[in-house]
Amino acid sequence: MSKAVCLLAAMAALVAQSASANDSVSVTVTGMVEPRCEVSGFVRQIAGVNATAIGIGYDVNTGVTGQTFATSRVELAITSPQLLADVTARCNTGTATLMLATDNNFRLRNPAGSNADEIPFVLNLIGQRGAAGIAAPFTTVLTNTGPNRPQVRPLQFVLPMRADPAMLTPGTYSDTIRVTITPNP
Amino acid sequence: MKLTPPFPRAADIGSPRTLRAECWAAAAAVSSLACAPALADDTIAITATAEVAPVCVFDGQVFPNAGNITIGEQITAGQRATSLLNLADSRDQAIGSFRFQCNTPAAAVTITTLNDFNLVNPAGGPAGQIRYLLKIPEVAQLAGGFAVTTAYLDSTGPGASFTERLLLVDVGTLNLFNIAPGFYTDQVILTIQANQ
Repeated sequence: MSKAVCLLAAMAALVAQSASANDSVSVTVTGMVEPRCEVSGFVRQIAGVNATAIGIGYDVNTGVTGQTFATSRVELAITSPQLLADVTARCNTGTATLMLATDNNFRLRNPAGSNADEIPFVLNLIGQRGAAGIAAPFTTVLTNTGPNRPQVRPLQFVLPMRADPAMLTPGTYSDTIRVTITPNP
Repeated sequence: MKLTPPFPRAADIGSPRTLRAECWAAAAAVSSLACAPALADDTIAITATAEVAPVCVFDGQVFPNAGNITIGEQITAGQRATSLLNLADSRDQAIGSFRFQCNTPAAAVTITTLNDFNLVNPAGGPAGQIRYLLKIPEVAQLAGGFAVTTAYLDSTGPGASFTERLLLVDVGTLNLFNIAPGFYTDQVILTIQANQ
């Protein structure tokens, strides 16, 4: 009798052990990193003069995007390229799209002047094939963009011809160039 | 001997299968995000500016023989040339012309001379001066021949073409017997300034 009880007890223990070994839970922890680009600019406040440059946009040291605009003063009497800024794209995708557009359609304008007071200009994106003499909204693909592979493209301002001050109303002429970087999926 | 289940009842924690199904659902939701990811782009703005100052450009012609406007010597800012007057001629004698182009609606011409509108012979003593008048006929303040030093110019830009004006000298009628022999000179300086 005693042996029979022991055998039953042993069988019960085996059954219980077997059920426990097949039971588990599974929790999957996930995090999502989205495609992302940050753009920054090292803008020369006097075009071509490195000593006057300031940084705008994404700050790689702090990881924070600060002021996103700056002004660069260009010279109207010369037709050689004037370096406005070094534009840096930091993306986590292999390619990204850089878009260039301006508020005044690639013309310096004086708010007090007439349409005749426009000064047309073009932009060069150095190191980017086919990105010279840009005179209209422009899109180009940056390759080898990352992750952790920042791409730098110097941005030049060029006057196709010297502006003749005698033909222009005195005042400040300006245009705002907007550089947008979008990660490619 | 009482047998005790080695694990809590399913009703207490939910069945393992149900929990696993929730994980799959969460993973599926994340996967759907991955299929249509939000593309975060970034933009900076750079404003290019340039200053156009009020400016006038001008040049001139000097007639070596005053009154003979068919032969002129071209001069630009900072240069000078000589015009020889006929002191026996009491009429207006054109000594030169100047032309200007400004980017302002108005401009001013300032005329000064070294000898204050007198032809001077350094060796002539008190009698060695000949007073004369400068005239710019098309400029109101100078049309009358007064020795006004500043006059306003209109018909300027921006975008206007060059405007040309004659510069005349009137020595009047001189009694040459009362004037010491020699050369009598003065230097006329014209300055053009753009007015805002």
